[in-house]
Amino acid sequence: MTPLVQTRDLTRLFPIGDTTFTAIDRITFELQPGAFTAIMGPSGSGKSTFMNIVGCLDRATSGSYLLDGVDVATLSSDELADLRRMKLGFVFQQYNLLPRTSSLENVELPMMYASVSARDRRARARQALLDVGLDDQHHRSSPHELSGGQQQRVAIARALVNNPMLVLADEPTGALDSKTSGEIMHLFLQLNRDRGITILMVTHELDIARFSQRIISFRDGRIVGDEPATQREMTMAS
Amino acid sequence: MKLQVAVVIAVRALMRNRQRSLLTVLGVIIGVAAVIVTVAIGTGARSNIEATISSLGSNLVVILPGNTTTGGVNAGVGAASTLTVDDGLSIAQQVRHAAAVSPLVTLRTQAVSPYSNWQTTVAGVSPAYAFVRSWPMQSGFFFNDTDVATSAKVCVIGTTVARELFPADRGVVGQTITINNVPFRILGVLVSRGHSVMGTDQDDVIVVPYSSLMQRLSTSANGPNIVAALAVSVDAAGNVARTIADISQLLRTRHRIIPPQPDDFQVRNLADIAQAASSAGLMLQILLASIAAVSLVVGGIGIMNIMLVSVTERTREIGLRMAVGARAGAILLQFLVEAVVLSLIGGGIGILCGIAISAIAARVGHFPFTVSLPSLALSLLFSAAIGVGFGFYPARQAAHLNPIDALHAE
Repeated sequence: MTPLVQTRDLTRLFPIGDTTFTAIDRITFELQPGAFTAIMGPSGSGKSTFMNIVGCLDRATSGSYLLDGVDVATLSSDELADLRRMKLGFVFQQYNLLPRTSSLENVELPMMYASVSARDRRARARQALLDVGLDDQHHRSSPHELSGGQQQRVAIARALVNNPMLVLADEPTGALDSKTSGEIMHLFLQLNRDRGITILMVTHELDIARFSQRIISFRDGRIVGDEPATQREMTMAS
Repeated sequence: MKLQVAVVIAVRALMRNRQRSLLTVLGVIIGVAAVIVTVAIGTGARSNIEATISSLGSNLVVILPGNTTTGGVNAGVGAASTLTVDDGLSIAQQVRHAAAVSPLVTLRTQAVSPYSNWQTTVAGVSPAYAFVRSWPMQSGFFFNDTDVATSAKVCVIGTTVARELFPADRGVVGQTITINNVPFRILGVLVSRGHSVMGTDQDDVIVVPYSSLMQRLSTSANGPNIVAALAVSVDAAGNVARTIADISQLLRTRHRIIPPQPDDFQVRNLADIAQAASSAGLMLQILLASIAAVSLVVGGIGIMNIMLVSVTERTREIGLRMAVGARAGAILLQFLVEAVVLSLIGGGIGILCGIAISAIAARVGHFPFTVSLPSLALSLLFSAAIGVGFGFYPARQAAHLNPIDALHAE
């Protein structure tokens, strides 16, 4: 099977004054379709830089990155935007929902840039919200009327609404209490198992990482560990 | 991306900040309204002036007697008694482009009717006067050359005199009024002309044959055939200057004046004076409109300012839009459309306010209310241009943001 994500010697340098800082250093990595993978590591270990490059928000200084077999280094920034729109979904720690905007309109946002008709936009947004466990009473609510867990569900619905191949979650439970964190992770598991959605997630917490199938450890811009996770979702989710 | 979708995105973004959007458009509202009001008032005032010009008469040239100097005291224009009825006749006969000539002799006196009495101006003129002043009749008819030849006791009166001397329900034509104990039969009533440029009531007048005034009414010591002025109508506007020269030449000959001896008469082109008033009005209008236009530009700068603040404040939103797949062009378009929508809304409301204020001003200032369609279209177009012009820089700032930096902005 072709890997969904394939990097070879991926390196990202940031110039700082006269010197350069090596954020990630020759990372070679593969991600199979349908996998649920967690990335762990201390702050400054390069995991966010790596996620940004995988998410086509940033470009590597050297090395190659194939997303679904396409070398993204050759693409223009408009083509990168098209890739993000069609193949990727993002979930952030701070949700990044538009304020004073209903859940439906927040979820519609990615479709606004994808020539979907107004009627289809509304229907698909509604279905995506139902899929993440938000019923009609929350569809007209603004983010400030929703709990943190509900807001993150809206954000997940937004990430899924364009049917992406890969969902990138950057500390998706970082702002949530442990009970709500468990519920959100359960939702990720469900999406991964029932719909075969590939998930790459960054987290600080081992408890959260252990919901995944594989845990990658970053340190000083390199991968220092890559092992299967001990499955333990039942203990928290049930 | 379709423009339609861009408009939806932009309108949603503006609705999210309703209060700020409203405050932003306020500048454009005031600017557009100011432009429309000043243009409407200016146009109205000018149409008043133009009506006054046309009421002066067609290509009217007035000849006044010159000044006299007696023992070193200059009595000023019109003091000399040098213009005669015969001067007028020879102008009519010899000056090629003089279409009509009427002498003018005036007398300030009391007129008495069976109902009332009224002090007014009696003007002695020839039948050509009605043509020279382009002054039609409201009822009845003007006196003719026979009346002049016979010094007939007939007159036509202005509407003010008719109102003051006769009750509203009485017919005026055919009635008799007494001027200086001489009865005059009223042949007709002139149409109302309203106030002149100088503010005098042009309808407060009794017009009689000049010969009748000279022989039956005048007690002045000016001597026979002396007139206060000659009014000449030139056949075409283009011939006015040439006609003035011809008249001057003719009068110098008739009065035996050899340059450098000073003329004992003055030829004035009244249309010129009115035109000067009109162009002064135009200057004022341009000045006001410029001030209004400046306020419109200030409104545009307000939009740019708010859009720049908005780009800074919404950096995360922009980053998010980029993350979910918006191209730089789509971000640019969104902010540009936001600016244009703001300025168009401002323009629309400004037009409505402008029309309302102009209508009130027209009623208060007694001038015709005119709002021209082109000026409305121009205002809207100008608003949109302001949106594009002042919205472009902030929009470009937004589109050039780096998605990662934008996403992690505070």
